[in-house]
Amino acid sequence: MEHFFPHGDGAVVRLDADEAGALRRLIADMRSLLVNDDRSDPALERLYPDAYEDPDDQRSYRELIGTELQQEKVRALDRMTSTIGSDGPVEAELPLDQAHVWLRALTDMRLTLGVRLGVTEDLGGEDVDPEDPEAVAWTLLHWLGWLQEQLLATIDPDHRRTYG
Amino acid sequence: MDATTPARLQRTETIDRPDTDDAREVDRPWLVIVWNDPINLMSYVTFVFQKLFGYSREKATRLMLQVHNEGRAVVSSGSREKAELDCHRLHGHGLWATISRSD
Repeated sequence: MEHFFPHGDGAVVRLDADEAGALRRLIADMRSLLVNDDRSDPALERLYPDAYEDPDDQRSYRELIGTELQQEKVRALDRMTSTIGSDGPVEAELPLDQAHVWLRALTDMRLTLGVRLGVTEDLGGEDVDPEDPEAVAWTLLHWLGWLQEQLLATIDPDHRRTYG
Repeated sequence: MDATTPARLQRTETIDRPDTDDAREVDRPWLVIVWNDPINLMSYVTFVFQKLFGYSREKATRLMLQVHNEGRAVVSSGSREKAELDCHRLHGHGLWATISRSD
């Protein structure tokens, strides 16, 4: 089922109650990860990669950046929540800037799931082994990728031609 | 400049970094490198290069493929401040970017 439809520069998003619920849980998990800010968590290493190999350069870069990156990522989640609300199915407009915010938030969720699942090689097919104890996380990872691909194709017809 | 750029990154002066008159130093730009990662979609990486750097679809796609096939690509270069700003914006979009000095 398509979830995004062209609308002006941006899109309209449609999610049924189950899909919207799954997204709300992902947003909540992501938000606690960011707010708790436990830097020993490997997911945060991936979300805030080192810019420099040199430790002194990296330290001064980190001081410069401060909490900007964290705040941006939390803000993106909160903007997503403002669109999808707290309950029930979703049908909402995503102006282009909001669509871009969604793409970033979906990326952070996928990166986090990828770290949790220990993904080290390019993802292959989307067949998930239902016996795998991490089947739910795999399914979410692929589903978020599918959402992201659809949203990209919706706001940018060139993408549909290239990757569709 | 991207609307999400933090004010503190819009500075024009370097903090705690000595000036250099060495012309060779000036000729050695700082490079922003994006590394391949197994999660990000190829289409999304291309989108980010276009959005952040204003690259054409062709150039953005070529860089994305270079990242994908060779493991890394230099996506922008310039002053240290520019490199740090670009790196920060790439991290904001979930790409794995680092900064190094040109040889």
